[in-house]
Amino acid sequence: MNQPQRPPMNQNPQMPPMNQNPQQPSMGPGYRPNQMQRPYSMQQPSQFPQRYPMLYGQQPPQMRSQSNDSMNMACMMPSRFTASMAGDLSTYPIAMAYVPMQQWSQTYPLSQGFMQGTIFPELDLPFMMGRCVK
Amino acid sequence: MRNFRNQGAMTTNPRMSGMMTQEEALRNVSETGFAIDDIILYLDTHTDDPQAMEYYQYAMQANQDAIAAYENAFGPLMFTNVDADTWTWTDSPWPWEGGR
Repeated sequence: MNQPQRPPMNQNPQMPPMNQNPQQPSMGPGYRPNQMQRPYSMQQPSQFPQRYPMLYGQQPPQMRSQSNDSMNMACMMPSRFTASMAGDLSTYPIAMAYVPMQQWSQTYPLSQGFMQGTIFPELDLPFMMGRCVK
Repeated sequence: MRNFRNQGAMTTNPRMSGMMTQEEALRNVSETGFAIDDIILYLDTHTDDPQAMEYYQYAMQANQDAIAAYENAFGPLMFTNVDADTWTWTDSPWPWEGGR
């Protein structure tokens, strides 16, 4: 009678094997969520942009640093990262969230603030999910 | 210091000095009212910011001025603002008559 085969000690039986095929999309179109991958913490850091390309605007990392201003990032994220691309959130790396404190600065004129929906130029960002685009 | 005072609709905009259309007067009320809405959100998290507090005072005054300018020319904006011997609230067109 066959004994149930124990996995090796260094292998978590709950953890599916690591994705052997780098061509397999990890998210977005073609992503099959039943083929779970190891969490990010068990991968090499260099795999992160490959695994989550839409977080990086589908640019290689070296291009990212060249367009690193906040306007670009704010524009890039909402327009490319949609709910249907997100997949299973439990496969995401955990993170620490932070919100920088807003500092007082020159406000818009009243009429411009009314049109833009904020009197603060630093908060006047191009949110684009097909809603707030004029 | 008071850099926001000279960029708004109230002081330098010719709309406020000469004759305004009703739409322009209402627009001034909306713009100044929105400025109050927005600076209030900032003040909720920056309670000790003197510049924000000054902007709040400015926006409140500008909004009161805009409301007064509108109501002097075109009648009360809210029925609680009827300030006359007769019920002037019904003088202006109803919404179905083109009023807003």
